[in-house]
Formats: sequence, structure tokens, C-alpha cells
Amino acid sequence: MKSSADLQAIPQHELDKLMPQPFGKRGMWWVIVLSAVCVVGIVAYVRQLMYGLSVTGLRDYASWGIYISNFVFFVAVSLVGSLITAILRISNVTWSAPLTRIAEIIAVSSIVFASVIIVVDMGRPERFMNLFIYGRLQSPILWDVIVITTYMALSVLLLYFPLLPDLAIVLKSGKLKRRLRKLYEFLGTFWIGTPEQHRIKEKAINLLSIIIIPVALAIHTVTSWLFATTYRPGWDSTNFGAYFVSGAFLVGAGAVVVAMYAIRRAYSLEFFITERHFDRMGKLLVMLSLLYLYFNINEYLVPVFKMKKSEAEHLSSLFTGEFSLIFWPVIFISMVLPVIVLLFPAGRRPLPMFVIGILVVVGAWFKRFLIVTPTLLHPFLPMTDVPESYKHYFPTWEEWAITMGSLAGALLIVTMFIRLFPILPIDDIIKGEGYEKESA
Amino acid sequence: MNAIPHADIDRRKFLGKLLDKGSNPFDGVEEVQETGEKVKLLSVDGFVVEIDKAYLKPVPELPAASPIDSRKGIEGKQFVMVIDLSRCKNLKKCQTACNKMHFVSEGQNWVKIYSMKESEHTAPYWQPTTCMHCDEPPCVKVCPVDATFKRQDGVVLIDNDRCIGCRFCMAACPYSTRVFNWDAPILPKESAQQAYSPETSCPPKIGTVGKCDFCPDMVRKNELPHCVSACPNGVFFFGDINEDTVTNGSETVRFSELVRDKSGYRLMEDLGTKPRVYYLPPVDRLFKYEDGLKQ
Amino acid sequence: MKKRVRSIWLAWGLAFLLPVLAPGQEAPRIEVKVDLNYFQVNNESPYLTTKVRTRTESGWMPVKWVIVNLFLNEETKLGMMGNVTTDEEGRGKYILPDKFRAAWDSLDQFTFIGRILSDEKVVDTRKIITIRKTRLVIDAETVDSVRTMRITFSEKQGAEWRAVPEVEWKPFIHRTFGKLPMTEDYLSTDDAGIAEIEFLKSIPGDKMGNITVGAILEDHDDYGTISGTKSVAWGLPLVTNTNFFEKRTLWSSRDRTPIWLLVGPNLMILFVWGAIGYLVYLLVVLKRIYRKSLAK
Repeated sequence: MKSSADLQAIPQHELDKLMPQPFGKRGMWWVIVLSAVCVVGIVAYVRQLMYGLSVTGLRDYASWGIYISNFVFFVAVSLVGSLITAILRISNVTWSAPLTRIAEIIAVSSIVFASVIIVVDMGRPERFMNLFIYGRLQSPILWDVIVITTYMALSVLLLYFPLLPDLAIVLKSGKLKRRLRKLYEFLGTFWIGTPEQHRIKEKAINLLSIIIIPVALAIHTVTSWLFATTYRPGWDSTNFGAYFVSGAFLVGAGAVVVAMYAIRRAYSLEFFITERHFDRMGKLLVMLSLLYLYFNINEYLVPVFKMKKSEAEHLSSLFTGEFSLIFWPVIFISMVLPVIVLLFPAGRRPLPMFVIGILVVVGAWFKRFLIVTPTLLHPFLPMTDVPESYKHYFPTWEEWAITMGSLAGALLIVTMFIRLFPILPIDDIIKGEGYEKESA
Repeated sequence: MNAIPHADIDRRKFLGKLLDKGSNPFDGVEEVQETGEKVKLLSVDGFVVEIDKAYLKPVPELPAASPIDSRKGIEGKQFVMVIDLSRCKNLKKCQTACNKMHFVSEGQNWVKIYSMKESEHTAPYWQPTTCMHCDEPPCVKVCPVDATFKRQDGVVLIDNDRCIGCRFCMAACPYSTRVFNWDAPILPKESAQQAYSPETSCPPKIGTVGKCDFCPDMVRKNELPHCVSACPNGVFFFGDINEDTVTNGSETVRFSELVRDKSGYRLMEDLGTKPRVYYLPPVDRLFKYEDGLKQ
Repeated sequence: MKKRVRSIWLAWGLAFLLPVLAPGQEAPRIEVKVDLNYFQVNNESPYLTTKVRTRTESGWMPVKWVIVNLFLNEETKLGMMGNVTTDEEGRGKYILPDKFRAAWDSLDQFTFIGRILSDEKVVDTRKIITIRKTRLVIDAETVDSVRTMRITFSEKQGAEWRAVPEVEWKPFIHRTFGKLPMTEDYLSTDDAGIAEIEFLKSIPGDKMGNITVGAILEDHDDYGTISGTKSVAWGLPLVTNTNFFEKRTLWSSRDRTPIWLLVGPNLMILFVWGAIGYLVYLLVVLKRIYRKSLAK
């Protein structure tokens, strides 16, 4: 907590920037492009609904492709909500407070699109309700359904509770257009900011921060179990839960870095999102990269040492074979390079951080692809007696369009949220939490 | 139902029932006035039989097993298969018959014939694989909706009316036995209109998983699965472990003796899946491996 | 100009029509081999099977959809039993019709004639087999725990049944999908037309230990294929064990989910969703505070 003297140091024109603002020209174009990508994705999905999964490049061996790797990617990104908000909060880290809402909306939109994309992957999406009518608890898929639903509920609450005081602040400012005001009134009229309300809100956020951590670990651990509960080389690992969770923290942190840079630039929030925030996120990224590298070495070195027959083919396809052109860039550009760059203070300045953040996120997407598909293309029994096209996997345009559409959709949710609500927690900032001046 | 023109006979439902003792002309107690009009029927063992129309009794339509029976399985049976690798010549007759009877899509097979070679200096051989119908089926473990299930007679089936098409079972099966109906299956009209049963796996459905089902519809009629009867070399032995007997159609042997005397084994025993398909090693082969390459 | 166009059309039309009008160059009818086999099971009504094959470069191939006319004793309208069309495997099966029962009961010997006549694809072919009427009796007895199956085989001669010696039988145990041989060797009937075999196997039967034993004479020149069976309590009673199916396992259906899997996750769900419920309740409390403040 800062003293009240510091509070007056925030100039009114800076505070005004925190209010929701209409899109500028660039904002409009951004939304139009994202919407266009979404529309193409929807068109592709309509085609898939009409002709079945045959429009994809998936076949009997590579029966899971970029839909599933995209699903794992979304689940991974969504973990960041719990990292930035919950883990740092209960470890009494205050500098990250301005980033919590960014992290939380990323978490919510990712988990929403994780659910969307998993339905897209189903051969019979119209039978989705079978999961609830006939669901059997022995299947890790059902565990995933349960934890993802739970995590979604918790994430929305974790987004909503801290938003309450800000809704009141924005309402009070009287700058809202009629329809938006209606929305705000619906969501937050009941917040009058009494000490009791503040106490209840704090209690709720504390409870959420604690509960969401095991659930967050569970969503990604269970997602890893979709693979690890099979016998397949590359998946048959007891390490998989921790491996997935560490990777998720890395990509989530990368996503937050990218988002905070973009938001800072778009709304000139240099006063609130400072270079120190980038510096600290940079250090966090180094730690998370090293952690993920550690698990990667575990995942690959141990089987390499033994070179069991079934593993050997899979590993050589990654190291020297058809997937090596994805594998090594992913390792070096999105895990090793961030460590090297971000170890230097100059590397932790906003722009290099932004670039590194993008590399981390893109690399993480391809990393998920490397986890899912190469394994399926290295079954125990040789791939003979099948058409040549079954032995390889190239996603079709429909798959790319749907995948890109889902990514654009997630960004669109984040964008619309920023348009409608204050992306930084105004109440916390006024009270001085996490707000640090450049000179501090 | 009194007179059934050939084309309208639903083969899978109708087969055999007419030629049971009850409708045998000689056993008929009541006097039947022959009409002179002949009707062609397909008998239990696959023969076309001519019968005077008058002998056709209104047989209660024998429907495919009900969903509940399909899930329970045939009581008192424990089906098992033995595949003798020393006799396989990669003729693929099993595959052709299976694909035809189950309307397996182009390029896909329920019975796959692998060209195997364990290591550099060991000899290559042909290995047909069906579904292993494991007693600890990894595919059934992971199914979220009970769409694939294990029956008391040991058979692992799929209910294509319930399958959501998540393909987790395909990832879980170490034997790569499962195929997915990526496209709408191409079916003759009669088959497309047939009432679906997990026992017939027919008509197959788009967006769901298929695999070898041990032909429970045939087995219910005490007939051998299609791959077994299609193989001219007698590679496949099928039977009931409760009877301790397996047969390939022409040879009928004790299961325990066959597996003991010829050192039977199962695939990937170390995974603990406990398959119901046993293999006899490719020793004293009837054919050279190279013979199988000629097709 | 118009005329020319018309003549071109005419030429075209002729070009298409000519092959149709010209006398059809039909494919030559193929030579086939017709097999005719006679079967009788447990002295019940006999049946005939036929198989039509043709010799090609790659060996014998079945001929499908060929009509084989079947006659008894004479190739006349009177002797016409019926016809059978071969299936995809070139096979057909025919059960002897009731109207020949009288002949069946009185005669000692029958001649069956299979005849392919005026078929479009197949050369006219005839196959004749002669079968003598026989009777097979299977007996089973257990004396001092020695279990014996006896075969008594005789043929019809006028009003009498005469024992047939030196016929080789295969004793078997009837199984769901086939006949399990009792021994590797054949069993030959003696002068009294009798053959015996001691049943030594220990083999599972049904729940009561019943099995069906029998003997078969396969494809005999004079008698055809004759078989008979008898149910005896010589098997080991089957103990069906469906325990494995009733157990709660990871692969069981949802009504047999393992207890730990029901308790564990459901407790977790209850706990977390309980907390979520509490959080929603806190929202309600916040609203209540607001309403109270309004009332003031």
C-alpha cells in the first residue's frame, strides 16, 4: 500500500486513459481483420459439418492433428490466469497487479475457445450431450470436460470480482453511452464500495486465488493425460503432467507480454505499464523457459538414452526426420533464445520483450503440434497396408481456416473486452497497489 | 411375409432361420399344397436354396440383436481366435471378404496384413491382424460415453449410434486396429436402410469409429466370421474357449493343444492388454514370404 | 447445305446403330464341371449340393448364377425335382421335396441327375450320381466308467437292412463351429456293420456336462456323406465365469465404475463447486448490502 501522498501523483489525464474508449482507426481495422478471419473459419466449419471430417487432412493414423494441438495450446494459454493472478497474489507479489486483468481475460477467452475447438474436432458434434447423458468417469476425456467447465467458471468469477469497483468508477464518470451504461448497470449497480463490500470482495478473491491453482494444474495435467494414458511412444510418460504445466506457464506468460505491449502502445499506458513491468515479466519468462527446457530435456534425453525400438523411430523423426525442421526451431527460437536475450537488461525492454513474447507463443503452438501428431505417425505396428496419404499429415485449408479462426476469435474476445471494460484495475491503481512510478 | 422375393430378403436378418428344422419340408407335419412357384433363399452355409413358395412359413422376423443384448453378449461363450502365421501368403481374401461384408471404406481395412520383419537377420513374414478383443481393452477404458464396450463373451464392440467421434480409442489402441469413417460410407440401398445394430456394424456411420467386431451376427447363428471362412489357407481359427475348440472351417482342433503344441503367443504381451487373438509362429511355413509379394 | 447436314446425321446414326443391328457376336459358352453331392444327417431328409466350376488359366474358378436342373432316376418331367441356381461361390443346395417321399421310402437306390441345359454362358452339362439308401445308428453307453460310442451302419435291400462292413467313419465331438475329431484315425465297420470307439477325452461340455458325439462318413461313392449324432453326458460341466464382466474396472461400463473413481472425483467436484456456489452467494450478499443501503 502506498501512502495517500502518492495517490495524488497520478495525473487525471493518465487516469482518463483507463476508461473504456471507442476504437480508433487502427482498432477498427484490427477488429475487421479478426472478424474476417473468424468468418472464413466459420465457412470452413460449415463445410466440415456438411462433408464430415474428410475435409481435414486427418486419417486413421494421424487421427488427431492441429485441432487437438490447438486445443492443447488454448488450455496452456489459459493457465496464465492462475499464474499471474493467483500464484503471484498469494505469494504477496504486488508488482503484477496491473497485469491481472489482462491475464484473466486471456485465460477466459482461451478456455472458451479450447471448448469450441474440441467440439470442432468431434466427428459427431451433434452428440455432444452424450458426454453428459452417458459419460463414464473412467475416461480422461470426462475428467477434462469436468475440470475445463470448472476452470471456466472460476476464471469468469476471478475476472468479475475485481471488476466490481471499476464498474462503479466508470459508471460514476458518466462517460458511458446508453447501451454500454445498461450493461454496466446490469453487471455492477450493486457495488457501492462500502467497507463491508470491499471485505467480501477481498475474501472472494482470496478464496478464488487459492482454489483456482489446483484446478488450473488439473486442467493441464488432465489434458496431458489424454496422451499419457495411452501406450504410444512420445506420450507414454509419467512426466507429462508437469511437462505440460511448465510449458503452459511459459506460453501464458509470453501471451501476457505480447498483450501488455500491444495494450500499452494502443492506449498509451506507459504511465501504468512501465518498463519495470516488462523487466520483471522478462525475468519471469527466463525462469519459465529454463523450467520448460528442463522438462524437455527430461522428456527427450531419457528415451534417447535407451532408444527403445518404438521410441527410436519417433525420436529420429523429430531430431533428424520429417519433423526436425519444426522441432529444432521450436527448441532454439522459442525456448533457448528467450533465455539468452532476456538475461540482458536491454533484452527486457518493451520492444525486444514483445518480439520474444511472439516467438514464445508461436513456438508454443508448434510445440503442441510436435507433441500430438508425430507420435500418432509412429504406431507400434508398421504403417503398411494403407494408402500412401495415410502415412503423412498435412492440414487442409479448412483445418487452417478453422484453427486461425479460433485464434482470431480468442483475440476478438480480448479486444472486445478491452473496448468495453477498463483493462487495468483502476481501483487497485488508485489505491496504489502495483502502481510504481518510473523513478521508484 | 408369406412369399418373399429374393431381392427383398434381408440377408443378415433372414439367413438360416428358414432352413431350421421347423421349416424342413420333410418334417412338416401339416399338409402343404405346393404352388409350383419357387423362391430362392440363402441357406445357413451360404448356399442359394430353392424352395417352393408354399413351404415358406411366416417366420417371425429375426431382428439383429437388441441394443441391450448387443451390449451383454452371448451367454456362456468366450470367443477366441488363433492366427497361424505359417500359413499366411498375403492373399488378402480375408480382407476382401471383411471389407465387403462390413462396407469398409476405400483404402481402409479392418483386417490388416502386415509385412513383418523383427530385426536385420530374422526372416520376414505376413501377419494378419484383426481387433485383438483385449480382456483389458485400452480403447474401452478411454471411451467417454460407453460407445465402445466389452461384452461377457469377450467381444469388444462399438455402438455407432452413440460414438461422438473423439477418436481417443484410436489413439489408445496399440494395435492400430481402429478406423474412422471420415466420409459418408458408400452403401447399397438395402444396407443403408437396414436397422443399425452394433452386432452387424451396419450400416456404418460417418463421423464414428469402426473396427473388426468378430462378426457377432454370424457367430450368433453358429457361423464363422467372414475372414475365417474366406481364407483358403486356413490361417484363421475361431472358436469358443469354453468349448476349448477352434476351427478354421475345415480343421477343428482343441484350442489348448494347438496353442501348446505350436507355441502360441499374443501380440505385445508386455502391455498387459490381454488379447483374445493368439498367434502361431511362422515356422514350417506353407509358403515362402516372397510368394506373398506377387499379388 | 441442309441436305448435307442431314446426311451427316444419318451417317452418325448408322455408325451407332450398325453394331446393334448386326448379329450379336456372343461369347462362346464355357465348359464347366458339375459336382453333385448327397448328404444325410441323422437319417433325416437328405439334401443335395452342387458346385459348378470351370477351368481357367489360374485354376478352377466357380461359376455363379447358373441354373442346375435336378432329376431323380429319370430325366423326364416326372423325375424333375426342381432346380437350383449357384451362388457367388458356384454352389447350390437343394432339399429333396416332399412329393418324392414315396419313391424315397420304397427304393433302395437312387440316381440323381444334375443337368445344365440351354444356359447362355455354359455348355450343356450333365452329372449323374447313384446313391444307395442307408441307415446310421449312433449308440453310446457307459459300462464300468468305460464310455463307448457305437456306430451301426446298414443299407436297404428290399425290405431288409443289411450290415455294411469296411466303411471308414470319422468319430467327432460336435462343436459350435465345427466337428472336433475324436481321434486322428478312421473307424472301420466290421462284418456286423458295427464300429466302436472308447471315449477318452476330457473336454468341456455344457453346464450339465452334456456333449454331442457323432460320426461322419465323408463323400462315399455309394452312400454320399452320412452323419449322425447323439447327446451324452461325457463332458466336463462348464463353469461359466462372468466375474470378470461383473467387476468394477477401468474398462467397465459406467454402471460399473470403480468405487474409488466415483468417490474421489465426485468429492473434488462437490468441494470445488461448493466453493463456486459460495462465491455466487457472496455476490448475492453484495447485492443485499446494496439494497439495504437503498432502503436507508
